[in-house]
Amino acid sequence: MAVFEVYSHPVVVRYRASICTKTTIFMFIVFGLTLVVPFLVAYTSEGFWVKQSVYLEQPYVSYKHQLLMVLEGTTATEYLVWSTYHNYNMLEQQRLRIPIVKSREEDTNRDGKPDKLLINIETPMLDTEQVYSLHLLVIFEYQLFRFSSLTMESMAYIHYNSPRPGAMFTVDGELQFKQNYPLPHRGIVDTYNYPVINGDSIYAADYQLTNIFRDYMDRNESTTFVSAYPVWVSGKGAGKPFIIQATIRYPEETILYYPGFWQLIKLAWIQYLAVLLIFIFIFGRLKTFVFQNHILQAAIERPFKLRSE
Amino acid sequence: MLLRFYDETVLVGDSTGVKMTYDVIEHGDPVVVECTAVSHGGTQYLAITSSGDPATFTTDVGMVRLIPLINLVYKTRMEAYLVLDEPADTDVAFTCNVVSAASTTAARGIANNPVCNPIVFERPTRDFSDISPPSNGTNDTSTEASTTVEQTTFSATGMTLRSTTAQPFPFNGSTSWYLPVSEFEFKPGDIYQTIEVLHHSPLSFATQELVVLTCCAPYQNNANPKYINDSTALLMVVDLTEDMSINWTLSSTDPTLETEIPNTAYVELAPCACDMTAGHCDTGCCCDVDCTDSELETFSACIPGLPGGQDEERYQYTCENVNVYTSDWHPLLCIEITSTPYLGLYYDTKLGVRDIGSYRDTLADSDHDGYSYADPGRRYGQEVHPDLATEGYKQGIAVKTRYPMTSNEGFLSLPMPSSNTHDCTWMSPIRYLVDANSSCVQLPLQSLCTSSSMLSAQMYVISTNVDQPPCPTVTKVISEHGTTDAAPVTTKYYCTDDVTAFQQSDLTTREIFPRFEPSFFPDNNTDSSRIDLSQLSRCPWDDGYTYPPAPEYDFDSFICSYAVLSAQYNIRWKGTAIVLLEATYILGNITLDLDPEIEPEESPEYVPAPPDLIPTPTASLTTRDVDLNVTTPDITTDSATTSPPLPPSTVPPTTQQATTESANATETPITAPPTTKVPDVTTSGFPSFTQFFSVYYTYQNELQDENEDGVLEQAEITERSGNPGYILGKLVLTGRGIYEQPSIVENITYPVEFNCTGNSTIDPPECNETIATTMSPIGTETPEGGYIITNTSDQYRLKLWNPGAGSLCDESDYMDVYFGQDVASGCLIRLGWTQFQNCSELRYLMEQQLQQLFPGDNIGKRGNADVNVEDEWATIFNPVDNPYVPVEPSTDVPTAEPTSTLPPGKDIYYPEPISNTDEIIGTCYDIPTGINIEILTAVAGQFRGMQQLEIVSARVNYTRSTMRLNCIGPNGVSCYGEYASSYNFTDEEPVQAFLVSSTVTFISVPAVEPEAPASYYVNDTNVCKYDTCAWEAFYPMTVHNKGGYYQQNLAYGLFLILLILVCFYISKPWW
Repeated sequence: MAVFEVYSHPVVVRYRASICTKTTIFMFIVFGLTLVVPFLVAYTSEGFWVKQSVYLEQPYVSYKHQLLMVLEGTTATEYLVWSTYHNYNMLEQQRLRIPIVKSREEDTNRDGKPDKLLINIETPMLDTEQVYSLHLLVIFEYQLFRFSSLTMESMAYIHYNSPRPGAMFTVDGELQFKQNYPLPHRGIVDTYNYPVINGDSIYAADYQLTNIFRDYMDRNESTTFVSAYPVWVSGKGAGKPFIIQATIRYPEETILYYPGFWQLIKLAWIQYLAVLLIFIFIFGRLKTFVFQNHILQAAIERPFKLRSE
Repeated sequence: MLLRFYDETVLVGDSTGVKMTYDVIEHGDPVVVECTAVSHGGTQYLAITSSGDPATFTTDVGMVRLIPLINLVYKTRMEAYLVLDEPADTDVAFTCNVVSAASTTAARGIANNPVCNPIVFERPTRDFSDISPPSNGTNDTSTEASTTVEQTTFSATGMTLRSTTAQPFPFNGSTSWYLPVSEFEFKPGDIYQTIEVLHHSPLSFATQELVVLTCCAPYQNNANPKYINDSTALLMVVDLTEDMSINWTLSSTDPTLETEIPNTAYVELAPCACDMTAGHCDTGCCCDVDCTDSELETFSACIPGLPGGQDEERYQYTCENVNVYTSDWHPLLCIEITSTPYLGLYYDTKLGVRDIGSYRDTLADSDHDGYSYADPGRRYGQEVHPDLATEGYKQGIAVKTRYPMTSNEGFLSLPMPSSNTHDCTWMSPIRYLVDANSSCVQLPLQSLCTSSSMLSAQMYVISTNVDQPPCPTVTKVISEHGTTDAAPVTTKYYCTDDVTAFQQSDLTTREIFPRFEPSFFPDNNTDSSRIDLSQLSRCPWDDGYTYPPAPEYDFDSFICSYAVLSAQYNIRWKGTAIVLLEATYILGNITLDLDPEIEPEESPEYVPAPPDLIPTPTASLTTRDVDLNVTTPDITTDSATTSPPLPPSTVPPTTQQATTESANATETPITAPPTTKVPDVTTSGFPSFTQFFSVYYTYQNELQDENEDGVLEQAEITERSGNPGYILGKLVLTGRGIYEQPSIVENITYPVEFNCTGNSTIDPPECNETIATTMSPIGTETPEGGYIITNTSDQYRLKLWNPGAGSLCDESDYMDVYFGQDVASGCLIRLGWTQFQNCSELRYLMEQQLQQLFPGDNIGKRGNADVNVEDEWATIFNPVDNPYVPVEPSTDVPTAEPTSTLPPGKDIYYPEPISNTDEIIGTCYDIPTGINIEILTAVAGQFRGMQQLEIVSARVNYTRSTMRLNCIGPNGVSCYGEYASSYNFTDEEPVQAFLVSSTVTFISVPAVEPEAPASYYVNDTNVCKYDTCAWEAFYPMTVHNKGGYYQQNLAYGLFLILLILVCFYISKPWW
C-alpha cells in the first residue's frame, strides 16, 4: 500500500553561542549585511529617493480685466496707448486712445473652470494713423489647488510687428505655466500674488515694458502666452478701427512638485523591501550552510534526539 | 632602252662642239652611249683616239605609292593616301579601283602586279609575299554563299585581266566596298591625295575578306609620260562583325511580352548573352536555344560569351582605398581583389501591366492612401451642399442668378475681403440666410472707373421693374433654388455729394486735439460720420424704372461720377424662397488718379493734356499753380468733339497752360523739355476710399397690419435675442416700462434737450448758478397704475460709449450692450481751467451725459421677453440702488428757484452736499466719470441640450472720481489758471484730457440658491486636494479615472473583489 506525504512542518534547530565568540560576531556581521547591502543596492541603482514628481491640473484662471496696450506707428513718436491703469493713461494722455474692449471667458467643458478667454479690442484710429506694431499685456489671476495652493497674478504678452500697416490682428494661443523650480507639495504659495503692473504708481518707469518684463522674469512661477498662429490683416477702411482679436486658452498643465516626507518614505520602502527579501533569502541560506556544516562553533539544541547518540 | 642616233659632220674651223640628235625608239633599261669621231683627212680626230666619255641614258619614271601598304580594317570606312615621289610638275590623273581577292595568294598576285587599263604594265614593285595571311579562317569561304559567288566572279575577272587587257576600269562590283571618288587629279605641286573606301551598309552578317585597292595613271588621261601606267596597290584585310542591333521583326514571339528577369542570386541572369532576339536564331550565337543544328553548323565561329555584370561598390573596402576617413582596422580587414565573378545585386522585377483590368487589380493591391496632386477638375465655382438636390433654398446654399439671354446660372455676390487682406474679391457667393457685411479698400485708380468694375452700378442687382431703356436684359435673382423663377428686385439709388465717409480722411492727430480747445460732449448724439440714408436723396434719374448709368471718368476734374460706394441687399425670405430683394445703393463722385495710359474713348468733349508738354512763354509759369491738375484748355472743346485725342505734336503750344513746376521752368530755357510727367505730379495722391457692402435677411411676415391709411402692411417684426434663453452676442433687451399714468405715457419726450448748451462747458452764466438747488432729489415712488408695455425702442436701451475719431466724446456716439461680453469703452473730454471753475456744474453736466446711457429701467429676463408681459422684465437698479423711475420734466419743477434756465434732472438726483472742498479751484470731487453696468445672469436650465441663460437683474452705478488738472510738466501751465496769460505763458487756456468710461460686466449667479457646503468642502474647487479626497479612494473604479471607460473599470474592479472574496472563502485564512 502506497504511502503519501499527508503533512509536513519544519523543525527548529537552535544553535547557541556566547557573545564573545566568532559565531556571534559572524551572526552580527551577517545581520548587518542583510540590512545594509539591500539599501546600498537600492540606493546606488538610482532613483531611490523620488525627489520630484509631477501632476496634472487645469489651472483656475481669471481674467482680471486689466490690460495695457501700445500700438506703434511709423515714427518713434507715433504711438497710441491705452490701459486699465488710469495712472498710466494719465501719464500718456497725449497718446491716449480709448478702445472698445469686449471680453468673454468660456467654460467649454462646463467643469466650472474657464477654458479660454476671447478678447476683442477695437481702437478708433484716424485714417492718417497707421499701426505697424502692437504690444498687449493681459493680466490674469492664476490659481492651482491640487497640491500646493498657488495663487499669483500672471500675464500674457501678445505682440506683433509687421512691415504693412494693419487693420486687424488675430491671435489664438495658450497661456502656459512656467516654473523655474518645483512647487511644494502642500501649503499656500502666494509669493507672486502681487500686481504685474503697479497700477498705483505714477512713475513712467513702472509702466515701461522693459521693467515690467524684467520683474516678471524674476519670478519662479509665471505664465507665457504662446501662439504660433498670429494673423496680421492690412488694408484698413475709411474710418475703421484697428481690431485685435485674441483667444487665450488655459490648457491643463503638468506641474512639477517636491513630494512630501511620507511619499518619499513610502516609495523608498517599496524599493528597499524588494531588494531586502532577496538578501534575507541569500543570507538565510548562508547561515544554514554555515551552521549545518559546523563551520562555526555553536551548541546545537535539537528538538529530538539523534538515533546515533 | 633603244635609241637611234644621227651622225653629224663638223667642218674645219667651224666650231668646237657637236650637237648630237637622237630618237627614243623604245623605253627600257638604261643604256650607255659612247660617241666616236673619225676625221676625213688629217690626223686630229681618229677613231682610236677621239672616243668621248660614255653617257648613260635612263628614262625618267615617276613613283607612286599607297600608304599604308597593308591595312587591317574593322570598320566600314577606310582612308588611305596616294602619294607621289615628288610634287607633280604637270597635271597627273589617277584612277583607283577596289577588287576582292579570293585568297591570300590571289590578293598578293593582284597587289604585286596591279593592272592599269589598257596596258598591263608590269614593273618591279615591292613584293607582297612577306604579308602574313589574315588570321582565323579568312580563306574559309565556305561559310557564306555570297563569298563563294564573289570568288567565282573574281576568278573570272582575274582570268580576264590576265588574258586580255580590254576589260575597262572600274570593273563592276564584285565586292561590297566601293570608292565614292575614284578619279584623283594631282595639280602641279600636289604630292598626295586622300582616298576614302566605304562599305555598303548594313552588314547583316560577319564578313572577313581581302580587298585590294589599286590605283594607276592611265595614258588616256595623262599627257605627262612620267606617271603613265604607273600603278600601286593596297591590301585591305577586312574583318567586320555584323550589326548587333536587335531586329524585332525577326522575333517569333509577341513583342509586347516582357521577359521576367529572375533573381540572379539563384538563377543565372544571362546564360546566353548573345541571344538578343527572342524566338529567333541569332547569327553566331552558339548557345541560342532557338538555333537548329543545321543553323549551328553554318556558324563560322561562336560569339564569345559576354562577361556581363557590373562591379560592386567595393572600393571603400578594398586595400586600394586610401581615404583618410576609413576605420582604423581597415588595413587589417580590407579586401584584396584580383578578379571576381560577382554579378552584382539584383532585384525582383514586376511585369508591366498590359490591360486596364489588371491595372485596377494592381492598384487595388497598393496601400496608397489616395492623396495626390491630381487635378480634381473644377473650372468653375461648383457648389457643395447636402441639400442641393432638393428644390428650394436651405441655409447656406448660394443664392443663384440667371442670365436671361443665355440662360446661364450664376451666383449672386458682393465684393468680400479675401483671406487675409481687405482687398476684395467678387467671386464669393452670397449664401441663403447668412448675413454678411464687408468693407473694401480701393486705391484711387482711374482704371476702376469702367462699366464693369466694382464701381459700376450696372454690375450689381438691378430692379426687375426697369423699363428704361425698353426691354432691358437684367440678371434675375432666382427665387427658389432649383427653379428658374425670378424673385422681384427693387432698387433705390441714393446720390451723395459728400463722400468723406468713404474716403480716407487726412485728418491728423494734431488737428483733432487742439491744445487750447476744450472738448466736451456732442450737441446731439448723431454721428455725422455715419451714413444715414434718411439724410440722402434719391438720385435724380432714379424713378425705380431706369437703368443705372455706368461710372464716367471726367478727365477734366478727375472725378468718377456715379461710382457705387455702398451696396446693401435686404433679402426678404419665406420658407425656402426669396420673396423680394431690396437693393440700396449709394452713388457718389470719387476722385481717382489719372492713368496716363487711359485715354477718353468715345466722343471726348475735350483734349486731354499730353503728358510731356512744352511750356510756352505765355503760360503762367511764374506761379506755382496748385491746381495744376486742371490742364485741359477749354479752347479745344469744340474741335475735339468728333476727333480722336490730338497727338502731342499737333497740339498748339499756345493752348496749354503751365503743366510743370514753375520754379523749374522759370530757371531753365523755355524749350527745354520738362523733367517730370504731368500726371505723376498733378493727379496722384487722391485718397484711397472704402466701399461698404452688406447683405441681410428679413423674414417676410405673413401677418399684416393695417396702417393709418387703412392699407395692409407687413406687421412689424421684433427681433428676439434667444428662445428662450439669451444667445451669446445678441442684443440685451432693455427698455422703459410704461405704466398707466397718462401724464407720462403721452408726454414721452426723450432725451430732453439741455437748454444750457449741455454739450459745452461754456454755458450762459445763468446756467451755472443754481444747479445745486435745481437738482433736488426727485421722488422715487413707484409708478401708479398698471403695466402697459416696455418700450424697447432705440432711445430707451442701455448704451455704451462708442468712441469716434481720436476717441473724443465729441466725436463719439453710442453702441448697444450685447449679451455675454464684458465691455470696457469710453471717450475723452478735454477740459481747461474754465471748466473747473464750477464743480457743481461740471458734476451736473457729467451726470446729465452719463444718464443718457441708461434711459431704461427694464431688462429682458430672457431672449424672447414679451414687451407686453411685465413678468418677463427685470429691473435695472440705478446709481442709488433704487429702481429707476422715469420722471418726465415738467415746467413747474423746481419752483422755488427763480428763473433757472437749467432744465430739471431727468433722473433721481441724490443729495449732494456742497462741501467746502469744492471751493478749491481746479479740483472737483465726486464727479461721475463713468458708468458701470452689472448684469446678473444665471443658467436657468437646458433646452435641447443648450444651456439657457437668463438675466436676473442689472444695476448701473457711477464711477466717481476726483478731477483735477495735472500740475506737472507742460501741463502745469493749466494750473496757473487765469493768471497764465499774465505770466506770458499763453494767451489761451490749455486743456487736458479726461477719461469718461462705460463698462459692462456680466456676473454669473446660481439660478438656484446652493446649499451651504460642509466646512470640509469649503474652498473646494473640484480638485482632489493632495490626491487624498474621499471620492478618489477607490480611484480605478470611479468616474474620475480617465484611463478607460467607467463601466469597464467598474466591472474589472468588482470582478477583482469577487476574486479576492473567493480566495478568502476557499483558503479560509482566519481558520
